[in-house]
Amino acid sequence: MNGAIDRREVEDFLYLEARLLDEWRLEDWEKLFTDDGRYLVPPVGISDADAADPANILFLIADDRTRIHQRVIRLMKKSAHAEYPHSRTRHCITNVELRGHDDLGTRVSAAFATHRVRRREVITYVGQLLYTLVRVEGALAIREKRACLDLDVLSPQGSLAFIL
Amino acid sequence: MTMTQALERTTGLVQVDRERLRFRVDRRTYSDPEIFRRERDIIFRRCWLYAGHGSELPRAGDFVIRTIGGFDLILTRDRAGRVAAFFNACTHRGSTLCREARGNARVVTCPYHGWVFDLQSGQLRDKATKSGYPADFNVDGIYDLRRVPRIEAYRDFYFINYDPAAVSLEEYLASAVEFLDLVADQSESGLEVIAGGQELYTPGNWKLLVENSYDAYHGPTLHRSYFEFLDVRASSQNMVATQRGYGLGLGNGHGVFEIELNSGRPVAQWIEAFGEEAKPKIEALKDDLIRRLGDNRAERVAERQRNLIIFPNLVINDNIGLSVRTVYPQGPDKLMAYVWALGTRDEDPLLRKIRLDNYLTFVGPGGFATPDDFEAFALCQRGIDFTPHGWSDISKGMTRDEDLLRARGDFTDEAQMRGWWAQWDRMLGGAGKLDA
Repeated sequence: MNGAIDRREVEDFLYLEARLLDEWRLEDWEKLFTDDGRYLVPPVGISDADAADPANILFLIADDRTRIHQRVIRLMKKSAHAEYPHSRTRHCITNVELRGHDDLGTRVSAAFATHRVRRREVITYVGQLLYTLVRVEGALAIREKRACLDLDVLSPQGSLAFIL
Repeated sequence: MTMTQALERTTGLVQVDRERLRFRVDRRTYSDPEIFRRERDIIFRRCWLYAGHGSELPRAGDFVIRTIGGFDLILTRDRAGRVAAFFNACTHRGSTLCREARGNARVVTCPYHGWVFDLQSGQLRDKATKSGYPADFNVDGIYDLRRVPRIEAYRDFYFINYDPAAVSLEEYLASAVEFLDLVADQSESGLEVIAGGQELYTPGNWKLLVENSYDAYHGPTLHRSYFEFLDVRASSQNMVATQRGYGLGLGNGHGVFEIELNSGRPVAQWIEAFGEEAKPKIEALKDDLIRRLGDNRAERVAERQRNLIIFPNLVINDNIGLSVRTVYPQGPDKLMAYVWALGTRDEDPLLRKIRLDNYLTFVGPGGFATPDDFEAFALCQRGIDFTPHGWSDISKGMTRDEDLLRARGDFTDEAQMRGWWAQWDRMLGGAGKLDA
């Protein structure tokens, strides 16, 4: 059941995820998460973003599985003005490393630079992705995706409406 | 007062037509570099500006750095418990001194020539000036850290003022103190800033964010997708339709709207979405409010929500969570904002979690509503900058004989905004001393 997970399989999986996001296939993206999956973006400018807990400090995003679903529903509506019309995005992922296994799953880290093109501007969100991946019925699934931004302040990004 | 005097007191950029019930603002106020410079030199040099909350400096020697009204400041707490505000520049050649966002220190040493300053008193230590200078070089204290002329607090909210002759903070706050009290009364042990506050930059004139912060009119349209999400969570009651409330000018440009809305509050309105475990905890907080404040006031603190503006730029949103923002211009068409979430001290961990959850679904830069506000600022700025000169309308709910600084209307009206603009107009129009 828990067949070994290797880097190549993880990379293919992360590239698939990136492509689903860039193509705005958010309903398909959402299916990559386990039933208890979480999507987290810790606050910028802190030193322990990898360990910070959204129960104690204010995150930018701390979605449980229900709210991931609600986020997807919202982003596909015309009334999600910040993403209407949808921005063009390019999710670039490198430096993929397997960081070990524990009870929760396989820990993976990667570097990311996601470029968002909107109204004559390209704005880049850069940072580290930390995943906890598990195998569900043979396929990889995301138990936690934590996007730690390498920013000190939200400049020029301002806000974060799309999915990193 | 003669007509001539009346004209001298205004900028001409705010047009009040009481006959036709039109209150209009010249759109150059959002785009003109000269108006931006006047705002910086008059509004941000004479008004009380929110600098920080006492809970951010719990111990002696704690400091935070912050840019307030275009000046870099160091806020510190001394051994006597007092909070001081210094300009964050060396008195020798002007280098920035503190470079960490926050910390605890007795002294700060300039990285350039090693001048050392006591962070509590601001005094220059003589380490780097021992040789080559006369013995009485700093006897008059001219090389000590420069202090911001005024710093005062109201219920642990600290404000600074660059005008030594300003009226006291409490006088300046006018009727806004009633609403600051309602916020602070939530907890006997006080409020605290929760880690994870943001500093963000986004396109748009700073006044667009100010107006947006206490404008309930835009909620059902701009935030439709957010209210649809809330309705799902609150098992299909229509939130927007159940709102009731009023908007009010509070004098000196301050304003508020206060509403009844069953969206849940950690202090103290339980809703099903918070879960059964939270119910007794929130009910206990409500009981505590009743014990301390009496039935009526407890009801108001617990069940009502309020969006408050302290002129010119402090926003306190006491709704599904408690947030504090300040906004500053970065030129005519770009703004910077500090955004903090506050909670009560000694808050139950489950309620803290609910509070943060509530907060970041809406207010946070990654929430379901705030990004759409920012989009509206960008769209307004574009429309203002790239169409012929025009006027923005702020007439909703206007009455013929209203006192602009203290007008009252429905919460979806714009009475509270007219008060802000009337104050802006008289400050930039050279009204001189503030009077409530």
